[in-house]
Amino acid sequence: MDFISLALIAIRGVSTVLHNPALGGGSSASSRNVSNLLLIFSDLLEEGDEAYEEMKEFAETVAAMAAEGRSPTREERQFLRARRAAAHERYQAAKERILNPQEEPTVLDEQALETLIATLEDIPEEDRTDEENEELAGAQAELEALRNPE
Amino acid sequence: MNPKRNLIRLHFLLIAVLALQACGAANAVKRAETIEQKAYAAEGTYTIWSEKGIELIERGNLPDNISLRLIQVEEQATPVVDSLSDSLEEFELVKDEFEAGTTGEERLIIASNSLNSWIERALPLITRLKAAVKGAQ
Repeated sequence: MDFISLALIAIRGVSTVLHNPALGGGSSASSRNVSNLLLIFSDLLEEGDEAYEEMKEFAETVAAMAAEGRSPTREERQFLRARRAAAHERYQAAKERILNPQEEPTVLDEQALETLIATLEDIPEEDRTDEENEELAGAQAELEALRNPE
Repeated sequence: MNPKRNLIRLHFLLIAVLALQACGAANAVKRAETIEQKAYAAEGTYTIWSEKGIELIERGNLPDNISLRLIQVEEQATPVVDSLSDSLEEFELVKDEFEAGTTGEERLIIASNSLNSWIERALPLITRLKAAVKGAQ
């Protein structure tokens, strides 16, 4: 195990302690903030370590290129471009997720659907709103689909 | 003094030492010799930091405002780095033509100056992205 891996374990350990009053940590907002900050730091350190290793490897490739007196090939350049384009798409997807968070649709199990149907059926038909009727029909269809998946 | 605070300070110090260690080496641009190698090194350095940045965001531990800041830096820098890449492509074409004797030196100088200016434009943006990733920090 290298030094950075040990440091990561140590930082995450401190973060866990700070977060948990049962382990002697605080329950105050500042304790939780420091704990969250340490978690972020440990992620960054881990990414930084990976980035450092990757940068070192890449720098060696460039140094070898310089020693051979050659230019980057078309394939090498296209590979970088493709990686950058893929990363850009992921950034855009992350932006979309942050700016327009979507609620996960609630998935009900069979029992929950039966309860929902029973509750809605208890309401006299003439008193049910359109929305309730729609919800009832939806729940019945969902239950049917659950029982007969084919 | 509060032992918990001392422990935290020790860890921050440790992180700072490791960050300094990481900064000192692995500079691809410095190891490049020709203009094409420098352009490629700048492009590669940016690509690596860009990937690290998005991996960090996707882990989901960063506050939204910091993620959005990283996204903004990437949105500003990527078109410049793509243009650097285009300019490198153009330079390689002109260089091949020059070596084949089908174009004059003047065109090669223009392509070289253009590539150089894109490298100059891209480098501060790469530093900015790197700072945003480390400093999201």
